[in-house]
Amino acid sequence: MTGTITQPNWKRLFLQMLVGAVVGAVATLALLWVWDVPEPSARMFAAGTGLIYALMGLMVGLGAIATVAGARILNVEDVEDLRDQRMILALSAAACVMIGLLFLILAAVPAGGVDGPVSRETAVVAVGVCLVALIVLTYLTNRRVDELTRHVSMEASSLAMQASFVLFGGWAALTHFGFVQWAEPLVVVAGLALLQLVAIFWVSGKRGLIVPQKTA
Amino acid sequence: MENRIKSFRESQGWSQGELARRLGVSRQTVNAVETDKYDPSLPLALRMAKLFAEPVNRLFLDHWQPEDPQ
Repeated sequence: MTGTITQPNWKRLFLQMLVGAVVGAVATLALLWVWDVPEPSARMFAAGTGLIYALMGLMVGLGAIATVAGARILNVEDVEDLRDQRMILALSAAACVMIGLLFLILAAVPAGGVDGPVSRETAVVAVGVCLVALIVLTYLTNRRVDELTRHVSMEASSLAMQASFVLFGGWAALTHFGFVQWAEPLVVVAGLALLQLVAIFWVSGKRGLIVPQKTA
Repeated sequence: MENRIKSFRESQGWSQGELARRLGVSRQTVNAVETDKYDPSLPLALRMAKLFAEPVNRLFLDHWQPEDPQ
C-alpha cells in the first residue's frame, strides 16, 4: 500500500452508476415480466427495492471474492486495501443480499391471502430465515467495523428516522384527515429500506466517501 | 477540524494503510481524518498523539479562543 489519496475519480463514479442503473432496470423489468406483477403496484416497488439491495450486495460480494477486479470497481485504494477490508465487505454484501432477498420474497406474494409465484407458507419461512441471517450478519459486522463506519451508520440511521417520520408521519396525518388513502404495507416497509439506503449514500457522500479516489 | 496528521505520517515514511494498521482502524478512516472529512474520537486522537509522540494540540489545530471574562 503506497499511494496517497489526491483527487476524486468522477469518471469511475459515473461509470459505476451507469452500469448499476442499466443492470438494475433490466433486472427489474425481467422480474416483473416473469412474475406478471401489475404496474405500478406495491409489489413492483418492493421488487425494485429488493433488486437494488441484491445487486448492490452481489457487486460488492463479487468484488470481495475477485480482489483484482474488485479493486477496480469498489471504492478502495488498491488490491491490498481491498484484502484488508475483505471480511467487512463480504459481511456487508451478504447483509445486502439478504435484505434484497427479503423484499423479493415479499414481492413474490400478492396481498390479500393468495399464493403467487411463491406460496404464502414458503414465503413466511423464507422471510424468517432472512431476518435471522440479517441479525447474525449485523452482529458480526458491528464487531468488525471501525469508528468511521459506525459514525456514518449512526448519522445515516438518525437521518433516515427523521425522513421516515416526515414522509410516513405526514402521510398518516393526511390519511387521518381523509385527504389520501393509507399506503399498502409493502410500500411502507420498502420505503423505510430505501430511505435508509438514501441516507447512507447522503451521509457518505457528504463526507467524501462515495467518490472513488485516484492515487498519486 | 484542521490537522497535521498527513505531515506527521509522511515524516515517518508511512502510507495511510500503514498508519491505519498501527492505529487499528481502516485506511478510509485515516484518509477521512487527513482530509478533514471526519474528526476522530477522543480515544483515536489520543492514540495518534501517542504514536507520533506529540501532544494532541500539535496534531489537531483548534483556533477557538475563550471569551475574555470581564
